[in-house]
Amino acid sequence: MSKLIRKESSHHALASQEQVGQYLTFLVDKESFAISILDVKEIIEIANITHVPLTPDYIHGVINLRGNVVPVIDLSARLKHQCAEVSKRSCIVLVEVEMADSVQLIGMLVDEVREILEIPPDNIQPAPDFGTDIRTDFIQSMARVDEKFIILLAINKVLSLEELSQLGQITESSGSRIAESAD
Amino acid sequence: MNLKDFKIKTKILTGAMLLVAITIGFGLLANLYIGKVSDALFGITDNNGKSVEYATGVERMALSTIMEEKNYLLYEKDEIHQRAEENVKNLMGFLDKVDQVAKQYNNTELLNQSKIARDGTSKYAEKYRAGVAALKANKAAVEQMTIKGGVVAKAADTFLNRQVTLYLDAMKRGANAQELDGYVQRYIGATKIYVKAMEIMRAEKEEVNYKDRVAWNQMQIWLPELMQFYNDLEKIANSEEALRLISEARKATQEYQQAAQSWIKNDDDLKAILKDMSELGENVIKQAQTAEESGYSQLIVARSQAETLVNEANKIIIGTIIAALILGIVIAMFLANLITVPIILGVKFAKSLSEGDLTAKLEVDGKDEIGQLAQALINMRDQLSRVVEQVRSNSDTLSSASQQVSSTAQAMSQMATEQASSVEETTSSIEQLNASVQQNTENAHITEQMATKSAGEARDGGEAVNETVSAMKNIAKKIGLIEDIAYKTNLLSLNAAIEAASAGEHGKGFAVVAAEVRKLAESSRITAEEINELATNSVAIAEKAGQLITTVVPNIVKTSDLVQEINAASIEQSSGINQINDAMRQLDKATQQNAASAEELAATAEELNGQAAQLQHAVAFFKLDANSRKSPTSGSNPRNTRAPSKPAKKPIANASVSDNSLDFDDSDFERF
Repeated sequence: MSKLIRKESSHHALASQEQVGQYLTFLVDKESFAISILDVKEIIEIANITHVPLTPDYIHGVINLRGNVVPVIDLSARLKHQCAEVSKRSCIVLVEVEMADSVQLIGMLVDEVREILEIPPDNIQPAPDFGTDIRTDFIQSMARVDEKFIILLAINKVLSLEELSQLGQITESSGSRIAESAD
Repeated sequence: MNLKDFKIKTKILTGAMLLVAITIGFGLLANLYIGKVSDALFGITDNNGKSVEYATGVERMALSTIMEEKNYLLYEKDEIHQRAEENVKNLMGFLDKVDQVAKQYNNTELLNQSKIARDGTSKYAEKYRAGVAALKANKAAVEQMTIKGGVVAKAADTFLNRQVTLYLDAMKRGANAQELDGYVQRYIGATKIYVKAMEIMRAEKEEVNYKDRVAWNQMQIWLPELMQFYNDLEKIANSEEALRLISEARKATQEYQQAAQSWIKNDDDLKAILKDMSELGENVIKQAQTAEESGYSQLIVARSQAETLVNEANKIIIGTIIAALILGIVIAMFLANLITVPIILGVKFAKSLSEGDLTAKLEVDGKDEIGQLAQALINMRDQLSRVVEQVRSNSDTLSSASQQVSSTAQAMSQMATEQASSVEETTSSIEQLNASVQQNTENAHITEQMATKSAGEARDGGEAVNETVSAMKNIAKKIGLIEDIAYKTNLLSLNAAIEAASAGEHGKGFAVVAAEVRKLAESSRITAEEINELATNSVAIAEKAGQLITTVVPNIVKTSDLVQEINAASIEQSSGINQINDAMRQLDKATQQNAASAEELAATAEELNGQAAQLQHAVAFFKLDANSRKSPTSGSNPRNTRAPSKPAKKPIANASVSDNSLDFDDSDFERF
């Protein structure tokens, strides 16, 4: 661990010089993924999830976040076509997705959040054409960390337009309700 | 066939049969005479007795009949007549019975008497019946006579009354004296007739009552006189009517006279009949009495005949008894002689045998039981001779054998003493063994206690391990909680970092703090994980220890059980050794007794020796025939198979004869 701390401290030193990006790493079905910390609004523990009927498998359900309805995407189902097993370590990462003219708050169900890594731009490479078992358009880029690559997910792609529209339908109806309640 | 060859049974039976035959003859004779006497007695009771009885009955009936006849004459009642008839019938019945008896016993005299009585009785009965008839006729005649007398009296009365009336009428008319006188004359005549008629009537009544013919004689005189009066009156009668009346009266008087005469005649007949009857009755009675008397005389004759018979029978019976007595004595004497003479000979022979003289002789011929007995006695003498001979030789060998027994018994005694000492040694070593086994038992007991304790402790250890396991599990759970806290802290730090990042440059310091917090959380999580791993490992180890202890506990328990068994086995061993000890002690005792018995045996053998000598002495009592010692008289004796092949030795105890000792069978001695 002391080694890890040292390494991170060295990264920290680098970031100060050349606009080091901060990334949140997490595990989905035993594989590490990462997203920019700036996309993340909040990380919350799994709480009461309301399952919504007649939705695809990857829509895990909706949660009540301080009075707002937030849809939750099962990343495992979305990326690996395999429903996630909810465990003690499972978390929901709340992200903001830009829609046509608004910003939508969406929750991502992940198996475990790891840490926040500072990755210098040198270590970031573009996504390969093939070689992984996920669709490449989901991959924003590949980050090298300790001789190992971590996939940086493109959140807007992961949650495709159709799905987003579906989500929009859900959130519109709920949003109107929320608006009513807000008034 | 000789008389001696018959069996005694046959002899005695023959004698007895002779006596029985005599007795039977005597019995038959007695029976014959008793039959005769009994016939005579039955004759007396059945024949003569009954004759007398029936004759008495005839007499009784005759008397009764006569009495009834007298009664009849007196009372003239028909029932009496019936009784008399019944008596006659009874009488005839008795006569029938008399006839039966007479025919049965062929008593012609009685039969004759009965016949005479029967004739007399029937005659009497006839007379009696005739008398009854005459009596009845007599009565009728008297009635007739009385009626006729009444008519006469009436006629006289009527005539008289008429004369009185005529006279009174003439008086009234004032007729003349002559006419009046005529009336008076007629009146007197009528009166005379009337008076005479009354007298005749009175005489008639007297005659009926007394029947002595005095009044009748008077009437014989008076009746012609009455007729004369009628004639006188007729002469002076002046009217037709008077004449008619007179003739009527005469006619009535004549009828009356006839009736009276016929009655008298009848009465005379009756008298004659009664006289005959009484004679006949007396006759019957007489005959009955005669029959009775003859019956009695018959009884006397029969009695004397019976007496004669009894006397004869007595004589013959006494004679027979005397003859049987004499014959019996003779036969018994003969039989006794036939049996006792040879027995006395046998007794003499047996006496000489009892005195030890086996050379005595007995000569009895005959094939009866006594002859067989004599032959048996002779056989007995021969067998006895052989036995005595054998006893002599055997007593010699017995003497030598007893000496050998004596020496053997002494050797045995010594051996027994040695045995006793070795047994004592064995006993002491067994006692030592016993002590060590008891020590062993005690040790086993202590070990068993320890093993039991160990088993209990092992069980406790197992429980402790189980408790440890549960405690460890608890610790692991708690550590899981710490892990959760670390994770949550991590989450918080991440959120803080996110917030810091969103704050941009202003949040940089905060981001550093958040990173530090995250690091702490991470390290605490890792530590917690390590501790958890350790705790999990400890739990596994503790569980294994628990399992091991669980497997050890039964082994320890089994060990404890085995030690207990060892303990029990040791106790059994101890008791077994005690038993062996007892047995050894008994063996010791038995051995000592053996020694004593061997000594006693030796003494007994000595005594046996002495007894053998006495036996020889006793056997010497018998005198033996020189010939009989070598050759048995009769056929081979089946028991004589062990007869010594050698000639008998001298009756002296000879110890050196070793061959003879082998002749003794082992079964002849009792084993000790």
